[in-house]
Amino acid sequence: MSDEYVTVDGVREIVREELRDHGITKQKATPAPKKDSHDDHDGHHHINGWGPHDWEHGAPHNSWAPIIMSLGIGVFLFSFASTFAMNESMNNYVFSAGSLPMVFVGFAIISAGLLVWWRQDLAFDGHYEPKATGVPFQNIDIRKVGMWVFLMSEMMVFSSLFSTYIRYRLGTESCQVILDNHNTYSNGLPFSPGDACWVPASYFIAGSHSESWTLSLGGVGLPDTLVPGAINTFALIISSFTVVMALKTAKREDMTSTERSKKVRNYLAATWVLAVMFLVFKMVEWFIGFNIGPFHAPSLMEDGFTIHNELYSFAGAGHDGGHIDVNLRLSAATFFVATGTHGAHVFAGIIGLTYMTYKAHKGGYNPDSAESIEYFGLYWHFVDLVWVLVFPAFYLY
Amino acid sequence: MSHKILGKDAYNMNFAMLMILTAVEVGAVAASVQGGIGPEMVILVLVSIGAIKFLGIAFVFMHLRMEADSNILTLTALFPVFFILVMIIAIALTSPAAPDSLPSWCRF
Repeated sequence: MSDEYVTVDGVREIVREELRDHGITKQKATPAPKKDSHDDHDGHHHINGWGPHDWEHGAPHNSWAPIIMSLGIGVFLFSFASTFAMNESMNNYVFSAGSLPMVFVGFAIISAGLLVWWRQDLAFDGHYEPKATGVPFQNIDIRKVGMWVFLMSEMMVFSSLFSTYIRYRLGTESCQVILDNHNTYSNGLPFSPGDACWVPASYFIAGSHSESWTLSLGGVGLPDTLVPGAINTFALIISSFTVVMALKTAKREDMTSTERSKKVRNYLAATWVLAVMFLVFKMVEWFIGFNIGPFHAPSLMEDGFTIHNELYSFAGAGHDGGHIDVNLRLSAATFFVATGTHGAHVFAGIIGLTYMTYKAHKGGYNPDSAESIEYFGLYWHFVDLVWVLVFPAFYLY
Repeated sequence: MSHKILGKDAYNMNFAMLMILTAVEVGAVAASVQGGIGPEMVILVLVSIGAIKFLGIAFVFMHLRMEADSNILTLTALFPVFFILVMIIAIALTSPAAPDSLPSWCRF
């Protein structure tokens, strides 16, 4: 067999040049024979559902990975929800260790699913990109369509969080208004300590409550507590840029494969670093706070902005010494659930980026297999897009 | 693949625009906290800039423009808008007490 003397990459390059010569640049069918392929000697192709796939025979149609991961996510979410149980006598949520083992079981099942998925995907070197055949997505890469359908469901998740926020924000009287009205609601009813009213997160992050004002933009002070959120906004935008640069670089044909792989890896690694930085600053903002040189900002927890706080001493603005004891649960819960869900998406992106950076390091992305970066990029840009709305709505307003 | 905006690389131009607009956003809030501009102006600035940034990311970074399949994928992305509008109108713009005043036929 003549292909015993030609490398697999060599054959693919010949096929690619042939296609290019005939003006067929997007066509990616024609899989090249692979000398170490477990061929179908009996005339049938036996597809392995556990991986790695034999991509030379086209797109795989079976994989256990999605089912395993769905099961793992289900176990994790159900058990995680039971980790904190409402204690009526204490009127508070208490930690319940009983469901913790199942949380780890969920994690283990998710990890197993990821391993199966990655074992299958790592064998993919980009010479087959299945196309959708049904209306209205004919001839569009099927993985791209799948990613968009997934993003549609993600839109609904975040829309529900936003609609909840808008509803409570508009429907709950502002604590500042009650304080201005001398402890009465707008309808004249007296306000009692522990009653719910709305204190936006921006009061603690970007409002008059902020203790320290170190940064100055053209003479305009920036509260220190806003610094982590502001840095994170820039970090996500830069990370969106590094992802598109990874994609652009992976598609370049005017580079050696080594040079290209190195650059793609570096762009993806930069994205990974920025994503990790985002979560670190999120932890700083929520739990840790910072006191570095002239910068001082307490965490939201230190400030008392927690989902447990039913008697927060709200001083507002323009009331020296005056205050009311307010229930913060509603405003804190909407803030932490919305921004926490976004943070969970960043965390999921970090898991994906870890794998992709490793794959890029191994030379797994080239002009024919750059689509994977594009599809991950769609997810990552969506996460950025959500932050574009979350940041002004929850942090600034 | 190499698209241009005003003769420059589309990705670079979009990135520069997003960075500048974010700086304006943060600056506007900082100015409002110190009483430089009113809250209505801040909301106007945040909503306007948020919308431009949203479109910049969707159209350029997510390729909803300038690609062969952009139109159908834009329609796909817009599909949930109907449900989002329903959620905004039916849930977000009602008061928290609204479920208590619902007619009995739509309660469980």
